[in-house]
Amino acid sequence: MNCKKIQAKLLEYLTGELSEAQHRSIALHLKDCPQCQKEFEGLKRTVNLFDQLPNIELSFEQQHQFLLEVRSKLRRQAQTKPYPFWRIWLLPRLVPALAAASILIFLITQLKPSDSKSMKLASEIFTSPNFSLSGEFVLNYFEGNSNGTALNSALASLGQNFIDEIEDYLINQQDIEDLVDGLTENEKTELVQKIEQML
Amino acid sequence: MVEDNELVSRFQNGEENCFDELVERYQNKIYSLAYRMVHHHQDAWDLAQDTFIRAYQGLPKFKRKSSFYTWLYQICVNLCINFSKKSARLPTISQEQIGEGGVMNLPSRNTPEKDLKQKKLQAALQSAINQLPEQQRAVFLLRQYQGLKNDQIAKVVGCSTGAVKANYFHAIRKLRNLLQEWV
Repeated sequence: MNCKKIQAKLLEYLTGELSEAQHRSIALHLKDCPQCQKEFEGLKRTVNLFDQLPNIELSFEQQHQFLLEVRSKLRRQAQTKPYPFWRIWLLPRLVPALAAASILIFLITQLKPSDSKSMKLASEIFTSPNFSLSGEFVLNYFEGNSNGTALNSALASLGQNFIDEIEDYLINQQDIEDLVDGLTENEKTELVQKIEQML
Repeated sequence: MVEDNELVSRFQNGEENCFDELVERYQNKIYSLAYRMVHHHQDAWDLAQDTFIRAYQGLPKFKRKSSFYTWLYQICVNLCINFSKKSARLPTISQEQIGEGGVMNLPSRNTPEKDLKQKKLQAALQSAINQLPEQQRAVFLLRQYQGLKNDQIAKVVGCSTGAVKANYFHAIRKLRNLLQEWV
């Protein structure tokens, strides 16, 4: 391996994530290469520096207070309950586009996990100039706005049951995964295409 | 100690107090993750509580495809990322802020000069962490301070283990550049 390849593996070498053979090969290289040795020491010092941040722990009193407050908030929520839970989570302007994009990316990677085109699409969601549209879309969709964007129609085309289930399960990615598992291949392809059009 | 899964099952079967035990078991870890993500005691306190409130709401449908704590971290990271996005920019860290709120400070045996240098370093470290993009920050913190493995982090942030490795690599490189004075 040349220095460039070695340096790309140094972090994994440092954290012990390489195979035995790779580890040995890099250890040998480091003995004879001052440049890579210097790079390695720099990485090591960087990682070790972060041990200098103090531990973060709640005091005994805070731990007690924490649970009391969680319980109290849950009681208040149960008494008032003005909206279904997902609706509170999705109140307009409170949800940044990132949350929506995460859902889109999750959908995409679940739909075609081994497809490089889908992976590329997932990465494009974060960098898309229309990135904020994905947030708008999710908000519109879940607020029942009939003028929702392309993915809205894509989801709608998959049937009312699917939409209802998405509404119920949005908070839990595990459940979205179940929903995706239940789609036919054609439905999966259609959904990917619609997300792609949206971007 | 009773397994998380058993507590989850019992909660799903109506034993409310099992949720309290789950909160007590993970409140420190979730608070510390939130604190490192947003670096503000009250915000971290609220975000950690919101994490458990959402977990409470989601637990009846929790199907154990991932472990309970991975799922809990997932909720917390999503909330913190949303929060950071909403707050536009994380505050610059002053030396005084290091040690505020829930942070446990051990009695120092250093000289005042050493203490001052240590505080400066800690402020620099936290500021550097704050400058990482959200996903890199989450991956770095989950690995560095929560001791999660790559595959666990992948589940929490919703990406492949390859992407976790890449995020960690880029995070360390960026941190190294930001902390040149200290490395």
